[in-house]
Amino acid sequence: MAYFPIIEYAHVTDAKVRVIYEEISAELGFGMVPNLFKSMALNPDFLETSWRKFRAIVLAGTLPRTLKEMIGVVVSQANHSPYALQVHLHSLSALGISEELLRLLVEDFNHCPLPQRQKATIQFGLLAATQPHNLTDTHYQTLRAMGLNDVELFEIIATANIFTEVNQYTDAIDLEIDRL
Amino acid sequence: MNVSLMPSKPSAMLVAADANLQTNHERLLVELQALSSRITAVNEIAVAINRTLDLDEILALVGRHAKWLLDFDYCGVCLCDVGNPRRFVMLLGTPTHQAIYEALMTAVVEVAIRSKQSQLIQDEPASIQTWQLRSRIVIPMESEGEILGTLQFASTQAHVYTHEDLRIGYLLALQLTGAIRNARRFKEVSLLNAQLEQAYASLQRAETLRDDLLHRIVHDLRNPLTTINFSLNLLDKVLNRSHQGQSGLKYVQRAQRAGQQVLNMVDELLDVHRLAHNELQPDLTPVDFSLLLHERVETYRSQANFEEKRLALHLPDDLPLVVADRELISHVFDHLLANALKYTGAGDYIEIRPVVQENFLCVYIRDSGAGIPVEEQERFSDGFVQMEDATQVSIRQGTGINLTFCRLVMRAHKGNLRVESTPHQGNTFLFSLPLS
Repeated sequence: MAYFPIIEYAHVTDAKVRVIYEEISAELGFGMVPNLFKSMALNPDFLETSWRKFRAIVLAGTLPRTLKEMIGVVVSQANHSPYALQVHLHSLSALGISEELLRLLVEDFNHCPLPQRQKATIQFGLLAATQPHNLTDTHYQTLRAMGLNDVELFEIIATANIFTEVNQYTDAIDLEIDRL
Repeated sequence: MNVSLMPSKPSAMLVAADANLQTNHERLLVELQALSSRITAVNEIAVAINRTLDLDEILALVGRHAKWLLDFDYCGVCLCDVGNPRRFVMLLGTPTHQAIYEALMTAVVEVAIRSKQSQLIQDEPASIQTWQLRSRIVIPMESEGEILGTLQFASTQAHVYTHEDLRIGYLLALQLTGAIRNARRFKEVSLLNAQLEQAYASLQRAETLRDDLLHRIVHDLRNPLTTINFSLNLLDKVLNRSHQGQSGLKYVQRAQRAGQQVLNMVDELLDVHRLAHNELQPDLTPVDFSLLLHERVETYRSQANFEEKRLALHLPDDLPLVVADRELISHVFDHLLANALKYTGAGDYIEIRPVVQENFLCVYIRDSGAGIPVEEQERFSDGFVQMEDATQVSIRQGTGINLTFCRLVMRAHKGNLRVESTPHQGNTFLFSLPLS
């Protein structure tokens, strides 16, 4: 049970919240509004800012959404944060990707059967989220040598940032996992 | 034989085999999932490249996204277009190495194009290796039997690519082939469209030139015609006074009538030109249509009687005044009535019926003559159209200028002109004028 109320669409009175709920439902791909956003309805401006940021980083951008979801899972695994982990695993399981594959990526990088560039990107995202001080020039240069440009590097950092935020927020309010 | 049914304790070898099987099973599962994630990435690329029909944009998108599918140091395409040399495009790789990459890929690309088969090179033999591109994949892009080009990946490492990589590359090549084909078709259609527009503009210029020339000729014809008619009138008067000239008088009068006809045609052509170019504005005054129609019908009464045709005018009592150019509308009515008389035979009827419908005064000129075929009625609104039957024999004599004149007069009045006809059951010409 979350420490804040989960406000369902039927009980929304604020016009701005209603519009944002409709956008989320239409664009996120789940056909519903996750509890993450429903728990923010108490503060419509915060909800709006959070949704816009999520949309700009996770839904839009140049990196494949699957890759960003994978970063979300490994970051949530590292933070032991159940909410985002379950939500993103649900999304990825529809694409045939399980937690085991991503755990293998973290635990046994060399044997994970993903392309090197994808593995290096996910590891870079994990480092940016959990040990940002340990990111060095070498890490950046490695990805640049693999053909990644500034826009893509920024997007990895932004993805790591948003999932770190989501983990901190959902853990702090003990958010219930959606019935997906 | 003593056989024990009790399960025996598994041997250490069996336990190890079981654990091995379990590990293999997990490894296969993980590999399957990794493949699945790459297929999803191919789908994401397909969605992105199918949003555009611009070839350069399609290639840029593939270059941006392909890096998440395979490991490579070089990714590029070689485009084949009939009549043009092969064109290599590097989608991702070190720009300074582009020329070397392309030179190294040329031979294997040619093999893929010629054989229409994908090429997988695990390690280029050192003897012919001039630079480090040891692993290579080249996939031909074929559409409707035509090779549109190849998609190629290469790595400086040996044994980088597996058959799974080849399959992923093939899936991407399939999507790229469709997108390239669509982009080419779109370009062809755009080119044809531009050519059509150019031809249309050229036709319009030619039409304008022709109209201007025709207008100048007609305009120049008018002066000498006026002089001829004036001279004929003078000659008529001189011959009338002289008894000797009586025999030549009928020829002069015939020439007078013909000259006046030609002059009328010239005036009409000039009016059509002025109406078409909005140079002739109607002189609008309130017109009593009961009076106008009565006058005009009576003008043709004797001709109708002579030709044994029934000519009837049905006038309602309360016909409102209509603001119009009396002279132009009289000409329109004359043309339509003369037309009805021309295309009816003895025993046929012609009836004229003005009616107020909504905010228009509609004048129906209905006859029982031979109708106009439906397909010809559709061409009625075209300028200078001659009506033809199925054998392309003209079924209405004349240049069509009268109907063009009528149509333009109606347009200048914001009115309308149309024909309703049933073959062998007569025609109805209808012109309508706004009441306000």
